[in-house]
Amino acid sequence: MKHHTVLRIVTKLIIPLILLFGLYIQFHGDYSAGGGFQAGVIIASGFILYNIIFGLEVGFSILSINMTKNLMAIGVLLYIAVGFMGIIQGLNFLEYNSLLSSSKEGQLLGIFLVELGVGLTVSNVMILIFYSFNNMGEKL
Amino acid sequence: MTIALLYILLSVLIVISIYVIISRNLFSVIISTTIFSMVCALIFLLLDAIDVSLTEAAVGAGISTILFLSTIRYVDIIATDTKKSAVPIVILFFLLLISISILIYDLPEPGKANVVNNSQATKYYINNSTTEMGVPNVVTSVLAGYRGFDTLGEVIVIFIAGISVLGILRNTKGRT
Amino acid sequence: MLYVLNMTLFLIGLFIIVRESNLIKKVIGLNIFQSSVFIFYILISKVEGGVPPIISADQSIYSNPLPHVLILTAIVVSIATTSLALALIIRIKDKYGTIEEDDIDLG
Repeated sequence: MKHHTVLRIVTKLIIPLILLFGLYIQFHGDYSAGGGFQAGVIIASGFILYNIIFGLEVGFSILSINMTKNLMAIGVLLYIAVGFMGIIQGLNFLEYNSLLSSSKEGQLLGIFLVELGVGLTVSNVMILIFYSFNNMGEKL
Repeated sequence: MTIALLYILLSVLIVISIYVIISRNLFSVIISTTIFSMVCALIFLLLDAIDVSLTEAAVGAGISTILFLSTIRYVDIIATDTKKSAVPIVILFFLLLISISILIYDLPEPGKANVVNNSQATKYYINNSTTEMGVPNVVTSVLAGYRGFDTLGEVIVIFIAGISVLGILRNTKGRT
Repeated sequence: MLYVLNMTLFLIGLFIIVRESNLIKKVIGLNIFQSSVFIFYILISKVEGGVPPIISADQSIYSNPLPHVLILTAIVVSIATTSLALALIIRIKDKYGTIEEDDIDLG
């Protein structure tokens, strides 16, 4: 769809705003509506829009399937690593109290890292599903 | 005012789903599903559920439409009518509707249920979310703090869905 | 009375799953079915005179946040199910040549 001038120009203007909005929703989940899931889906939507307008090959050269799979796994491992930090210090699994000096600071850091892991995993899963539905499964 | 709007929006949802039954063009059915998700997100917003509304709008009207449209490339766009008769199913479901209506007759109107479902857990989470966690959004603090283990299970479920789709669709032929 | 409309949506979703022969329409019926359950949970969580559950200093009545948490998880699981179902539909079309349930010949 690259030869449709209006679509191309509007996409170039809108995609940075979509990605910025996704990051805003991710990091302000504590103070207004938001969190990891919503941000992951919004960032994936922005990237899928780029792929639709400019062609799958261009999008594939930015983010290949190997990179997507690695980021997906890193999101889950980050979540589990935050959980294990509690066990190392002798408390329960996923207990955030011991991460920093006071209990409240520890909870804030724990929630921040956990939502980051969730956002990474969800966005990369959506992008991977989109690639698979368009026959890019063999091009590892 | 809210209740009247809810009646109107639920009737719109019923009209859209009856259109899904009648229509045979798959493309218009998929666009109707997108409209259905947007009206659902509007209903959630009217009922003070802002996190759920944002997720439903992003997921139902964004990702789900893209997946359905990517599937349409492989199959025919016109669906054929089914050969099953509709009459016994309609009679059975009408009886089910009457029996379910008798069962849910005792539920209070939406809004006045605060006497029933403000349990001890809800009061604890609302009172202690800012002092223990420092997070004003109660939904985030419950999701990632108090009940973080369920969120771990959910992330693992969506991870498994991602790698399963990659494994299923690896050797497909091109589109028809 | 709102619950009766919601249960009508529930039964219409179930009707689409049972009666339609095209597999994609069955998946859409499943989505309608799941959405009606989500609306039911959020309907019983609203508190009259309340605000969305974000703690601020000058409000005292909030809507119940626990069903919101449940439905958030359920929406994400529903999209995982839908994407897997659509991937299986593509493979069925590959192998049997049709996605109408009446015409699939298992022999």
